Amino acid sequence: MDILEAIRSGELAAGEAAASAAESISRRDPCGAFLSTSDPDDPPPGGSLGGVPYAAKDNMSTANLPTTCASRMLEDYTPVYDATCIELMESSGAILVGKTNMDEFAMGSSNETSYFGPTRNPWNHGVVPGGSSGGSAAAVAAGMVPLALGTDTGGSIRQPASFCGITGMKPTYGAISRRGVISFASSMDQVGPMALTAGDCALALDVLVARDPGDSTSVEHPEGGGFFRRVRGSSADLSGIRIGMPKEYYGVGIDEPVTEIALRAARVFEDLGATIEEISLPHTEYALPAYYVISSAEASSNLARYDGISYGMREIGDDIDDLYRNTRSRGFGEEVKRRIMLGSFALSAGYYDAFYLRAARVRRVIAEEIDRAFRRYDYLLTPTCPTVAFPLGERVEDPMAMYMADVCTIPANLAGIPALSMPGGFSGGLPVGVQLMGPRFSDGGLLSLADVFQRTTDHHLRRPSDGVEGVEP
Amino acid sequence: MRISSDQVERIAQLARLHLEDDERERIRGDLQGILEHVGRLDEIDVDEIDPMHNPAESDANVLRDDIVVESGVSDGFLESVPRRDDRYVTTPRFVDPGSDGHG
Repeated sequence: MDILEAIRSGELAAGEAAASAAESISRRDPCGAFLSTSDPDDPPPGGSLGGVPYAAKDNMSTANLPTTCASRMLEDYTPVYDATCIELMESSGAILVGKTNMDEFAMGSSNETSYFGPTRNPWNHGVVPGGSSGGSAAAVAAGMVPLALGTDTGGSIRQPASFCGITGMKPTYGAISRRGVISFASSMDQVGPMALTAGDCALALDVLVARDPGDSTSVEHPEGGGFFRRVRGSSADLSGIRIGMPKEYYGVGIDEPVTEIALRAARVFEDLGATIEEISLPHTEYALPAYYVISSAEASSNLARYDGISYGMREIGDDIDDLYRNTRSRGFGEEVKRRIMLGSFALSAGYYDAFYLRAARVRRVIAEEIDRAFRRYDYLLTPTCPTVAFPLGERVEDPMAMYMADVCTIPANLAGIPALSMPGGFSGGLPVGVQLMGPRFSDGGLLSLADVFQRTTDHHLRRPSDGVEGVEP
Repeated sequence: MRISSDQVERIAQLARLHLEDDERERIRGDLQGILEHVGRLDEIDVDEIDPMHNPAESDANVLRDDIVVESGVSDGFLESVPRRDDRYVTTPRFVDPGSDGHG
């Protein structure tokens, strides 16, 4: 039974679950998953997630806890209001027990760009948990909380979910409000749930999916709510479901065991009655370069607000310009500066057309190609990441190698479609995720498909001993 | 394309970043590598394709009525200001007293 269901059914006492989660986190956090912890009050009575302890990534504004984005720039910053997603969780009765570590400003795929030091993978402390929502993934995988919130701009929920052996979902763009979530690339940033099972993710979506007047890009979801009910009521007979396997996600650069695990997942769906076909999405290879131009351009604009004047860190200077430059140079880490530089370049006079605008045109080509695939297929099945979790430090000095970790997850962000990663197997003792993508607003169907997979397989039930004794990668 | 140190310095000025010499050289090399990868976008003809800025195009940028709502947190915002004098944010002087205010 899912942990959340156990709490909901009364099998696990709600107040105790939150209090003991908070207590044990403050006592022992061997992976460094948390940046701050709270002292939870008694849970309010009722609510669909009454008493369920959860963690939130440290880029979500919380009025009672620091919100650092894992940056020196915001080291001492505590917002004056809660993000909409935090408000919604609170009104459902869920209890925030802490804020999780992440790559600085969500820029990274390993949690190593955190100003406060990296989180470690609970399966093996020598490898990364993935990123940027690595702290949230590690907290769930290590059993510290049954549910965590992450954000996903280019794979930042799905990639760490894959590396840590949990289920993580990036919903349809606009399904969950971004109000109060610190912006990285606004046209792709999306909040989503991370939990052990698809069913638990659906419970969270029931709380989080809502149009919010405070975010003009949030939308009315045509499925409304009832994601969990739909998931639980879904048939394990997949006759009539058509699943495409885009061959570009199975080729060069994808490790053999990872490909094998995705193919095995396809056979599970086939045995349940689904039709599986290989397809081609020939522009997939352009997703990564288009993404890095667009996301960095948006980041350079979004991060212009950190100027040392109204909040966050301030360094003194001889004049106002000197103050700006000193503050930003000392407040931001190297990866953040690299992206700001790339983005400023792509938006600068003389290069805007050749870089930013071209990337935005390529984005449409990729999005339309994916849309066309969904005329013939209900879902797409791919690996989540090209590899298992890699050793700490291995890719820090090589930005392109680090960016390759997101090559399979980025297209869904460019197109704004929902996608999730679920445990599909193990390689060398480390978990391997499988990615499912669906058309816009197919969030319920996508979770149902993952739930059917998890009723038939047990990869999601394997837990790390505690990570310390993990095997060599 | 080739990125020069001068170009990197110009971008750093636009981005209000101060880069030390070794940092500037490192970022120059990184940008060079990333832009070589990005150069692959030139392989496809997209001249006739409209740029896509947001996946929720039909829903985005909807104007709302301009209604004042009491947030109740304005004093809280002032608490976050790094340097202030009562309810005023203090900064170094940024208008030259001798100029017409546009300099």
